[in-house]
Order: sequence, then structure tokens, then C-alpha cells
Amino acid sequence: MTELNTARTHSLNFAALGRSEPTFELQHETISLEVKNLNLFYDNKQALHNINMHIPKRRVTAYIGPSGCGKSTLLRCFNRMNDLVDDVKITGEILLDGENIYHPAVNVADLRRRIGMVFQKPNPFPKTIYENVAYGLRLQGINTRRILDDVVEKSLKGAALWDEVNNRLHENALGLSGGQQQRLVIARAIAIEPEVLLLDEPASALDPISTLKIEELINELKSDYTIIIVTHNMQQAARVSDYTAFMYLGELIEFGSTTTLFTNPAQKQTEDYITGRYG
Amino acid sequence: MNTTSPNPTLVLSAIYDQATIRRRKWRMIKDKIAQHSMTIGGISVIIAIVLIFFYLLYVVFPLLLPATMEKMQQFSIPAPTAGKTRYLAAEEQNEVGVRFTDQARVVFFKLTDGSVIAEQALPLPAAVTMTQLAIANLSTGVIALGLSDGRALVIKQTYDISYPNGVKVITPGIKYPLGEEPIVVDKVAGTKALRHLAVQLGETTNTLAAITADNRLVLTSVVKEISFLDESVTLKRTDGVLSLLLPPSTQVTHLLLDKPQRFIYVADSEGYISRIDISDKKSPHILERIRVVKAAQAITALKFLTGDISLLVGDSSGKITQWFPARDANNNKTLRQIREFNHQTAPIVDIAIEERRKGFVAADNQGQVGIYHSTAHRTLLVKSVTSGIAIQQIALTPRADRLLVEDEQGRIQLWKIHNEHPEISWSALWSKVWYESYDQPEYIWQSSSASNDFEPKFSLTPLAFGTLKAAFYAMIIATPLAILGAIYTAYFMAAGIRKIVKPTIEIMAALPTVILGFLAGLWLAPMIEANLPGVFLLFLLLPSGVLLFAYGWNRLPRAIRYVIPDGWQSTLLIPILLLITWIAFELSHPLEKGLFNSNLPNWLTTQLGIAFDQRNAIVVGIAMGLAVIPNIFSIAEDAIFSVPKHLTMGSLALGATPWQTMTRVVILTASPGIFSAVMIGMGRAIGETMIVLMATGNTPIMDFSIFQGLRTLAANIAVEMPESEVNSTHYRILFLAGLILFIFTFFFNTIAEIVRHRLRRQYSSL
Amino acid sequence: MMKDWWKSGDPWIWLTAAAVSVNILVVCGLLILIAVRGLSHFWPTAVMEAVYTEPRGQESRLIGEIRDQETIPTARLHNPGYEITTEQVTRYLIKTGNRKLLGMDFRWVLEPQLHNRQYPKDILVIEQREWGNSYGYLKAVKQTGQIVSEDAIVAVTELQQRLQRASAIRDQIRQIEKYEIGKINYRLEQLRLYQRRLELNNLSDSIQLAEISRQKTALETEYQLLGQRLNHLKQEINRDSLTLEIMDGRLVEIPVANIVRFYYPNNLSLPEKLRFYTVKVKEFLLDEPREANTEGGIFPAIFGTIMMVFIMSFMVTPFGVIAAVYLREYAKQGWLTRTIRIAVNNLAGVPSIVYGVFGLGFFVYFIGANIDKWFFPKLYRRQHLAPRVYCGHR
Repeated sequence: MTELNTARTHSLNFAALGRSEPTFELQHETISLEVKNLNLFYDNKQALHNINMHIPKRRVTAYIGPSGCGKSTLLRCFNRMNDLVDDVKITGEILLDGENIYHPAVNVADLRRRIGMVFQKPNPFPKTIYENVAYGLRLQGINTRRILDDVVEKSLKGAALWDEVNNRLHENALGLSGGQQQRLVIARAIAIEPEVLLLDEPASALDPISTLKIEELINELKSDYTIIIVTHNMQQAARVSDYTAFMYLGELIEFGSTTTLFTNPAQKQTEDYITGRYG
Repeated sequence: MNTTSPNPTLVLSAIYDQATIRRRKWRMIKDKIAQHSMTIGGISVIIAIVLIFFYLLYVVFPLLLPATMEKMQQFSIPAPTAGKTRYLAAEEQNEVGVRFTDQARVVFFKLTDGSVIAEQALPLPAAVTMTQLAIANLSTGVIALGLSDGRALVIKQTYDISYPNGVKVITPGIKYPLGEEPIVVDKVAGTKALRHLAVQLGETTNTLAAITADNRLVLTSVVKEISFLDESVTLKRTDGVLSLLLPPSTQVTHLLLDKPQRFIYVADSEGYISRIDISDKKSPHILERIRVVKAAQAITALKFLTGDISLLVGDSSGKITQWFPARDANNNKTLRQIREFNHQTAPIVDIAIEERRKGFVAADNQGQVGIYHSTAHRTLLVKSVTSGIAIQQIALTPRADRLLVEDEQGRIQLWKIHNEHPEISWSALWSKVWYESYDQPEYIWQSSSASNDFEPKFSLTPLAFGTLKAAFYAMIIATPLAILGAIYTAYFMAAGIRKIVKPTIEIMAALPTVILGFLAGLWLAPMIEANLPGVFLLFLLLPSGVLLFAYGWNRLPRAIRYVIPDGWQSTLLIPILLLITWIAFELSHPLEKGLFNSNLPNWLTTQLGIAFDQRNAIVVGIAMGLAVIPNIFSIAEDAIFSVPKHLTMGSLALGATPWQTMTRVVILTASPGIFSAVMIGMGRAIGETMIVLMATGNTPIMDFSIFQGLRTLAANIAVEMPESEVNSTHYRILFLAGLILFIFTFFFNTIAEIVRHRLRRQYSSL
Repeated sequence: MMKDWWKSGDPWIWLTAAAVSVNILVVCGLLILIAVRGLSHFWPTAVMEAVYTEPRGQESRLIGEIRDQETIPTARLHNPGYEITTEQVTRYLIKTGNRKLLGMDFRWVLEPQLHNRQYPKDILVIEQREWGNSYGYLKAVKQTGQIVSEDAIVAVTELQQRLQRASAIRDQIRQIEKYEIGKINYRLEQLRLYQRRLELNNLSDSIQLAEISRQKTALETEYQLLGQRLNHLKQEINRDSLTLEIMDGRLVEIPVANIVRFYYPNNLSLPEKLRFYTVKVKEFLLDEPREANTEGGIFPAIFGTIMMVFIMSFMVTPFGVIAAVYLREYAKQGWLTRTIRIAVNNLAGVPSIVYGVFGLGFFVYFIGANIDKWFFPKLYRRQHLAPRVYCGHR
């Protein structure tokens, strides 16, 4: 298990190391991910403008902003899912534990094992529940029944789904309800014990009860994983996250602790968005 | 004001004015017409579909019908004063019957009512009576009379047909092919009466054989020689004698001489048959003497089946067995029992054989008559015709559609026989059958030949085997190419190239298969034969060469690799593949010269014992595989392409490589479509006609070797249908082959549909 | 390093890419093969003249087109009749033509035995109506047996004119045979049917019969006249002939009427070759076949194919569309429609030979054989005459 967690703690003296300075609030946090001068172009149209930010470890960071502001795009940069889109050009760096994930020598598959993702629409594979959760492990060649059983149980419990499905692990996953499927997908993601979990509007396709369950789950998960969540639901961001970043038209407008950003935003644009003047 | 402003109600009534009403009515009529024509159209399609199946069934059905007999006439023996019947026969037109009596008289009578047409005494010398009567090959109508002074008189029946005043008249008569003077048969013992007689008249050779009272076989043979120089005719007579060496007090019961005048069979009262070789007429010698009936039984009837190869032995228990010479385990040719017919229970009195088929009719002394067919091992009918009275003689007309039965109470019955397709039985179609002159039972398809004596071999097994073999080899080549290609095109290929590649490959589906067959037979087959090592090298070098190149490409510095965008591997490979092909074919001749003595096909045959045919399964596999690839590719590619992108995303996000995603998620989801594609390709391969017709040798053999040819059901229909006689057995069997293909396709598609349905329920996330 | 690469699944992706490339290569290769082999057929090939050493040592003159060549291991030749020292030998397939005189059209010759290859400009190729091509040297042009010209240049012009004349006469003959005599035959047939109809309905009387017979005579006279004209034309067309010296030195007379075209293959300029090519392609597409489908054009086959496709489309497309609409919109959805849908889908997979067999049996043998009986039962109701048997004997 330990080989999956190879994070290094950073010293707080960033300036000495020549790195960009995190915001004041992150002084007491270890940094998991650092975005440096990130620009992204979709077919010569710029979608992200010079993003610089630090993502704290084992905290929930939320990205908010109006539609089209680039939050999902930025999220997908963290696990290089934008590579799969044609005509995308990226400049800048994203450092995971000090190493640029966009370096040509980086093995993308390995990267994605360390940075997992849950999508907006639940996408369980057309396999059994068991096999869905075990998928990530099988990919790495782990096929021992005992190990898989343990991991499946642990992950399903971690995703708060175990009680509901433990008696039908070998049924088709497509038979679950929407909320259950999303939790299954989360279980699947945490089964391989990533360092970071990226959640792209995980509850937007679900009913309020399931949404609540997901939000409770996020609260539990953050003790083990760094979580970045994109949401267009401000109230959800306020409920769930520790830090929030507000983005607008591909720029990072403001980043800070959730309480500060929602009660006393530094930028006027942030305040306008939060109070609902646009969005 | 006196205006004609419309009242509000009048506005509404405008809707009800004549024109509108008419229009609405017309619209209703149009709708009704459309509805009815749609209904008619739809129903007609259903009818058309069902029609095909039922028509095929209708043509095939008569094969299953049994034979029937109906009594047409019964009359007392014509001219009973002429004597007891020794031989009964009828001519081709089913109008004139004849009986030869023991007083050497000939009675021609009308078959319809038994009235005498003519009666004639045969010219015997004074004070000589007839003791024996022998029949030559049925179709010749030749009869020999054995006389009490040891001589034989040979006569021939003739039936002249003329049409005076447009009415058919048949004039029967007797001719004397060897002269009216009887021939001395037994030169040694002179004037002693002969016990048994046999005769055959051939093109140049005539032979008479007889058994004397002291169990000697005497042969007289006359050969007609026409000199090349002056066309004069000389007759050379040879005589031969053989002592039969039978145990004491054993009598000879039957004597048979075959049409080629090579063998004589002698049956004796102990139940043995001696086979005698008379190819040298001066010195005949016994080949073997074997027992053909059980110890307690006696041989009561002995006849040749048409063609004079098989013997039919009827015994006193009512059993009929078929025998002919075949090689045994020690490679010696001996008389072997081939099959038996057990449906009659009383001693067989007479066997009448069909002149043009391998069938026969047997009569026993309890008045029962059985219709049988030898090759199909089929008893078609057993019927009691005289309610218990023993039968003396039976005769079949040349077309085997009438049977004359003479019972011992002096009555003759005329029966009509419907026996259209006796050659077909389940065993004749699907199991190994022991055909005449073969050493063991085999699966053989050989439907026709030049002579009437031919035994049609209708086993569908070699054809079904060939069909499956062709389909197998085609699928082996087509499936990997098509499915792997579909995987790449749908999943890994750059979108721009896919727009070009997909239609290009699908264009192949439009190519008429005649062209593929023609190219395969005329260009590909000789090329493969001339470059056989190259072809094998190609199969080896292509995958390994590609992998080698891929590895090398992987090791190239990134700068060069990034020049080619992702998804362009297939384009990059085109020159590589051409290079590999060129290498393989350049190496072909040196390799052949070095290892295989400059001729690999020959080497295979001589060194490894593998026969090599130029038009073989490799050619068919490649050609038909090519024809089937676009079908499989198209459907599989669509299936893979329509797997939702979010599944791929989900898998990649978990750290899977693209290939892992493909094999673990995408293929599973697309499996219904891929399975469907393979099934459709298989169905197409089974039914393909033209390619197989031109690219194989059309040899109906059952050899799975890739170097041998084959014949499929479909190609067989194409080849033989133009040549078969309408409504004959052969014709109906070809329809049966069509029906089998039809049913097979249905069965296949249904299974495919069921499996696909199940897979879709399981794997599709739609 | 290798293991990692293997595990990444990359080699498999390359193999699938190879599969696509193979498919593409095969498809394109096939089309190119057909195109090249087919289209190059009409280009005028040069005709070679060479000296060939026969197996028994004597030398003969060989004139013909090189059609194919192959290099094979000497071991594959059976009894070549020569000493061949090299391991491989090249041989050429030469079309020597003159099938009627030489007995065969093509010949394989071994390269080492071929000497002195040249391409003389005055070798003539004559395409004939029967017996294929003739290759040789033009010696004379004759009219009714008398030599008109023996000079090289004049003879060609004469030949050209006479060929055009023969062509024109041929058209006239065709016109008479096909149209005018055809018309007469048609009218005679109509008269015969008319007469038969009267007989069947028992309406024939002497006046009508006389009229019919008068018309018949008139037609027959016309026929005679046309026949005479035809004979005259046929005599005319056979007026001219040419003398050709073929490769073994013999002189052969070829009637101009038998000539389709002639040309000097080694003397054609590029525009002339292009024109020749176009003419041959046009002939292939628009003419009728000659010589048991080995020469001439394939127009009847093209016509038949297109006609069949048209008829099929017109008959089947509405049928199919209507059936589909019916099944979806009008029929009550239930097990029957499902069965029908499955049945129709299966039909798509049925081998085409089954349809052929069905068509033959049902439409040709069943309907075709009995259709007269159904439409004209009167004619089939007559009793069969019972054959009567007389007691005649020798």
C-alpha cells in the first residue's frame, strides 16, 4: 500500500526554492499539486489564461464559476485527460510532488493511477459490481482473489455503498440506481488508492438524496485523499470544500479558504458571482 | 346596407362547401388506397418469403415418398396350350408382353388384357426339345435355348414401332443373331442335354456357357474379327472346359455370365457360389468358392444387378443379399457380402431387376412381392399380391413402371409401380456407402456418368464437408484481418484517415465475386504454386516484420516520432508492408532452390506425402476471405465505434493504457456487434458460389489438407443444375442441397440473433 | 525496456494497424491489378521480328507480339529440347497469330534461342472477322483476282479505300437482312397466326383464305427480290483481297471483307496510338462479340446487366419500401410481425444460389412450362389418341 503514497512534504520556504508563493492561507498546508503558468489553447482559441495555483494536500478544493469558465478544462489538465482531445495545446507546468506531469518522459497511465477522476455522468463498466471495483487492480496485474476481495470490500465501504450491495456483488452494475452507480464509480476510483481525486460535478446528475450521500462521502474521503471538485452549485461548494477557487473566462480570479471567499471575497467579480448578479 | 357580408355562421359553412368536401373525400380515399396497397404489399412480401421455402420443400418432398403399386389387370395365361412359362417379359412401351414356354413356343400378348397377338414355334431340329432357357443382358433381348441334344439356339426379340395412319403399331418378332442353326456347345460330351445355360452377345465377342450333367463348365466363345485391310469378317471360335470340383451329390442350381464376358458365377445346392475367371476363354479357372447363405438355407434365386457387377442372392428364408468382389484386408479380391434385405419371410422364387437403376423386385412363394433399391439400402414396399398363392415368375418392364406376376395357378397380374426416387435414403445421403467395385464403404459424390450401368453416388457428406472447409479457411484469413482492422479503424485511427479508409474497405463489398473468383483461379492459383515458399514466408514475416518495425520506431528519438501524429500508424506501415512482401517473394526462389529442390509442391508430394493441387484451399481461403472481410469489417467497425466515449474515458482515468481499455472494456461492450459481424461473415462464406466454383478444383473429396481442393454445396448446384434432368432424383437432390443451405442460414442467423441479444443485455450500457 | 513496451499494449496496436494496412493494400492492389491488366490490353503492342533457333537446330523467322514473360528455374522445364546451362531461364509468350495457317495463336519461346530482334516499320497487323489476327508483310492488293498494286505506299491507300467500301456494303447487307427481310418475316408470321386463329375459332372460309394466300404470295415475291439483291451485294463485298506474306514465308490471300481493321504497329506515332486505343475501347464497349466471345465487344452483356439491374430495382425497391412501411406502421405489432422481421433479416443471408435455384424451378419450370396450359386450356383439352396395337409379326 505504501508504494502508492509517495508524496513528499514541502518546506514552507518556497522562495528559497524559487517556486511561486502560495497564498497566505496555505501556509500550514502541505502542497499536493502546483500549477505554474498554465495556458491551454483549443485549436488556437485560448481557454485557460496563465493559471497559477497550489492545491493543498488532503483538503477539498472546489472550483466555481459560470459555465464555460474553464473549470472542467482545468480539472482535466491534472490527469492529462485533455490529451485525448484533438487540437489541444498546453504550455506551462503542473507539478505533482515537484515533478512536472507534462514532461515528455512521464508515463500517462501511471500518472492517472495517482490522480483519479470521477465524471459528471456515472459511467460504470458493463460488468459486475465486483469487477467494476476490481478493474483498476486487475489492470496492474493483481489478480489474487483474496487481495481483490479485501480491496473491493474496503473501497465499497469507503464509498458508503457496501451495505447496499454486499449481497449482490456479482450482478451487473448497470442495474444500480444513478446515485448508487456514482458511488460505485467513486469506489472504483479509490480502489487503486490514488493520491488525488478529481470530481467533475459528481452530483449534478443525481437526485437530492444521492447528492447528500455523495457530499457526506466527500467529507469522509478527504481524510485520505486530496480532492478537487468542480461544481456549479455554490451552496454545495460552500458545504463541502475547504478551499475554493473562482474562475471566470479561463482566468483564476480568486483563490482562498471557503469561508473567506464566501463571506469576504477579495475581488469584486467574485462577490458579484456569489451574490448572484450573474452566473 | 344591402351588402352581402357573410354571416358568421356562413363563414363556418365555407368549410362545408362542395370543393372542400370533395377534397376531404378524396383525401380519405387516398388514405384508404394507401392503407390497402401497403397491406397488400406487406402481405405479398410475406408470401414471397414463405413461397421460396415451400417451393423448395415441394420439389424435395417426393424424394421421401415410398413406392406404391396398384393392380391394373388380371388375366389367365395367354395361350396356355403353348406350354408352361419359362420366361416372362414385356417391352418398353408397356403394350406387348411375351412368354417363352417349355415347348419352345413364343407367345406375344397384349398387356392390357392378355389377348394373344401372335404365337410362334421356334425352329428346333426334329425330335429335339428345349431343356433350358437362358437370358443375356436384359437390354439386348437375347435369349438362348438349351436343347436336349446339347446344342443351343440363340434368338432375339424385336419390337418394331411404326405409325401407319398416325396410329402407333408395335410389331413383335424373333430374330436369329447367330443363325437359325443351333450351336454345338459341349464338344466333348456331344449330345447330352445341358443342365444350365448362359449367354452373352457383345460387340465382337459372343459367349455361351453351360453346365453339363457331370458338373463340368463348358464355354464356347465366338470372336468376330474384322480385318483392317479388306474389311472381311472372320469368326474365330474358342472352346474351353473346366471341371467344377464340387463335392459329390452337389448340384449346380444357377449359372450366371456377366456382360463383359469375364466372370462366371456358379451357385450350387450346398449354398456356395464359385467365381470363375473366363477372360481366357480357352482355359477358365476357378478363383474362389464361398458360402453365401446360412447352413440351413439354400440359394433359391440368383441374379445380377444391372451392370453385372453385383450378385443378388435370394435364399429360402426370404433374405436377399448383395455380393460383389472387393479387396479384403489382405488385399485379395474376394466376393464380399455388401448388404442384406430382410423384409420377406418366404423362400425367394424370382428376382426381377430394373434395367436402368440399381433396384430390383423379389417375389416369394407366399405371394409377396418386395421392391428394393441396393445402393440406398432401402426396402420400398412389400406387398402381398396373390393372397398366399405361390408366384412362379415376375417380370419388370424396361422402365420399371409395370410388373407382371405369374402365379402357379395360371394367372398373370399386371401391376403399375410408382417408384420415382428409390435411390435416396438417409444412409445414401449421409453415411458411408459401399459402392460397387469399391473396397470399402466411402463417402462419395458422383452423380452421373456415361452409361446406364453406372451407380449414382449421392452422398452429400463430401459436399457439406467441402462447404465447411471452405468457410473455415476463409474465416481463418478474414476474421483476424477484419476484426483487428476494425479495432484500429474505429478506435485508434486518426479521424481524417478514417474517413478515407472506411469507405475504401467497404467498397470491396461491392465487387462482384465473379471477378474475385476469376482472378483467384487464373492469376492467384498459378502464382501461389510458383511461389509457394514466398507465400509461407509472407505469413511468417508480416507479423514479425511489423513488430520489429514497431519496436524500432519506438526506440527512435522523440523528435522523429512526433513528426507523425498519433493515429497514423497504418499509413506508416504501408511502405513497410510492401517492403516485407517484396522481400518474401524475392527470397522465395532461392529458398525453394536451396531447401526444396527447386519445386516445393513436388517436394511436398514426394517427401511428405502431402498431395498438392494448384486450385486448393489456400486459394479459396484467400479469395473468399477477401470477399468476406468487408462484411465483417463494416459491422464490427460500427459496433466498436458506437461504444460510448465515456466508457473509454472512465477506463483511461483509472490508469489503463489504450490497449487495455480496448480489450477490457470496449470489446466487451461491442461484443454483440462483433459477434454479429462474424456470424454474418460466416453465413456469407457458407453460401458463396462463384469464387468456389472458379478457384477450387471442384473435387468432391473429404480431405482437410490445405493443399487440396474441395466442392461446396453451392458450387455443386451451380455446376450440375444445368445438366440434370428436370424432376429426376438428381434434380431434386440439388434442390435438397439448396434447401439445406437455406435452412442452415436460417439456423445460423437465429442462433447468432439469440446470442447477440443475450450479449447485448449483458454488455451494452445503452 | 522491451518488456515495458510489450506490456503497454503498443505492439498490439501496431498489429491492428498492420491489419488495416493489409486490407487497404489488398483492396487497392486488386483494383490496380484489374485496371492495369485490363486497360493495357487495348494499347497497340509492337510487333517483333526475330530469328528463332528451333529445337532441332534449324532457324526460323518469328513474327509476333510479346504478350507475357516469365523467369523460371530451368528445372521446371520438361524436355526443352535444348541445352540450357543457366539455373534460370526467361521465356516469352509470343502471339504469332495466323491461327488458321499455323495451327496455334500463341507460342512460348525461350529467350536464349531468340536472336536478331527487330521491329520493322512495315509489319502489318490485320484484325480479321474470323480466325484472329494476321501478322506479316503486305505484298499486293487485288481486285477480282487481278493485282491492283504492289507498291508499298500505294497499296496502303488502296487498301484503306477498299476497306471503307467493304464496310459500307456490309452495312447495306445488314440493313437488308435485319430490317427488311425481318419485316417480311414478321408479316408472314402475323398472317400465319391470323390463319390459325381463324381455324381454331372455326371461322375460316374460302374468301379469307384466298386473301391470306394472296398476301403471302406478295410477301414471298418481295422476299425473292431482296434475296437477289443480297446475293449481288455479297458478291460485291468479296471483290477485293490482299496478299500477305506471313512469318514462315507463305503467301496468304485475305479477302477485304474479312478485315475489321489493319495497322502498322511499329509505325504509329503517339497521337495515332492514342486514337487507336480510344477506338478499341469504344469497340469493346459498343460492339457485339465475335469468335465465341474472344473478340469484338461486350455490348450485349453490358446491356443485359444494366437492364437486369433496372428491372430489378424498379420491381423490388417499391416492394421493399412498401413492405417495410406496412410492417412498421400498419400491421399490428405482435409475434407475427416479429417473425416476419426475423424472416426478412434472415433472407438477406441466404446464399444467392438458393434464389437462383428457386427462380429456375418455380418461374421457369413451373410457371413457364404451364403458363400456356393456364391461358389456353382449350388447346390442351383434346383427348390423347389411344395407340392401337396390331397383330403384325414376322
